[in-house]
Amino acid sequence: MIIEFHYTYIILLFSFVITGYFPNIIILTSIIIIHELGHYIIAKLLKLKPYRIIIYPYGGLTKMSNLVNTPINKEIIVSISGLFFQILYFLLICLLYKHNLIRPYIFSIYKTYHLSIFIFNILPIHPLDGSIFLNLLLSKFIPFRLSMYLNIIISLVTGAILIIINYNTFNYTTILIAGIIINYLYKYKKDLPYLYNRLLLERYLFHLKYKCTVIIKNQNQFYKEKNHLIMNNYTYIGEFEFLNTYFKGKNIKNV
Amino acid sequence: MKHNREEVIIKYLRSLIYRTMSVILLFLVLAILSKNSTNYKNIIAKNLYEKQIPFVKIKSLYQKYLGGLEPINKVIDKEEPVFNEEITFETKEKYHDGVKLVVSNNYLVPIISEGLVVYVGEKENYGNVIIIETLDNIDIWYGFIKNPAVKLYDYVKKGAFLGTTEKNYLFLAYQKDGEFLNYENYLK
Repeated sequence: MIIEFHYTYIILLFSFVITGYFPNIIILTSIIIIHELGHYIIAKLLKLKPYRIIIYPYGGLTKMSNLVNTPINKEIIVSISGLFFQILYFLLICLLYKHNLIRPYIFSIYKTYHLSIFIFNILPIHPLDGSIFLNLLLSKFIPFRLSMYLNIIISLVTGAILIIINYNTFNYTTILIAGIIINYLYKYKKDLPYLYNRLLLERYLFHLKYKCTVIIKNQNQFYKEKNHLIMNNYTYIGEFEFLNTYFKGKNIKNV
Repeated sequence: MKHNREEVIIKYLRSLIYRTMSVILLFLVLAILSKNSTNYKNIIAKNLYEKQIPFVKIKSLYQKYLGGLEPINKVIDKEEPVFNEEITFETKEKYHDGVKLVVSNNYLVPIISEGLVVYVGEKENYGNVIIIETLDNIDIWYGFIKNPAVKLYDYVKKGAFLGTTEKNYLFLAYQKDGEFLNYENYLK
């Protein structure tokens, strides 16, 4: 396991140090790390492959190298587990506070950061937990490609609404976070065709089988966790045969 | 893979040695300079041991130009137990660098002005002292305090509870840039 501190986080820590907010550093870092460890531990238990944790200001990312075709329910559990661990941690702090082991000053800082990280993480903007959860839920009912595009649109709309609401109260850290999020969204948009291609390729290579089968018209309408029959000129082609012709002549090694 | 790991360790050790060597070099340069001339020695002693980083000043500048440090400040309602009182005393007299106030026995001391706690501990003549750096860069000393409710590097609000007095007197002093100020300008 590698825990990496992003340089924006180091900038934030530096600003904490020069303004004398010393307890805040430990509190904020512990909340973020426990949140990310939640994702990491649950993913390990479910036999997914997390390999790196990156810490950003007011949140982190756990990177995983699993298949695009991993079961949706597993991924939903992983996406929720961060917030779940964070709540458990906060309950522990509440317990300590009730027994007078923590001063009210420290508890109020805990409360502030816990609440703000919690609210920030359930926003449906792409790399945040809320959007991952929403995307997975959507991909149960609509085609995968469409759900990814919807995810981008929802992210942009929520981002725009947040900017309009908080127009006057911008500070330096929110601008840093906004920069990181825009960067991630742009990468997501750029990688979207490749991600979708991976979904098809995994189907082709591993012969994945599911209970449910649906009829679709072209290669852009594949669902997650469903098998397909492709209708072409009133003839039905099986999924594997279709993918066989789709990838024929393409250099699979380089994909 | 194993080869790769060895390389990473060697790289890490090399950077660690560079860092330690540069710190030692810096220390030696300062030591030699301070040994050669008393002028340098005074400058180093003044800047390293006597000056404090003006946290509160930087914080107010930060707040002014870069915004606050808390991300979603509006959402959270701040319910803090505010003790909210002002200092009441019977008589005052000059005592060393500040003023000694005669108050009731086990008096509950309120904080005069918002700021950051920069020192908690014993000082000669003043008993247990708490120093709070305020927003206008003045250090306020509270002497003879028993059972302090604050700790080092707490941001405290005006009127909050600081601690109780040891006996029936309280010591106050006002300091700016290392020099004590006349208390009569601040205390009414």
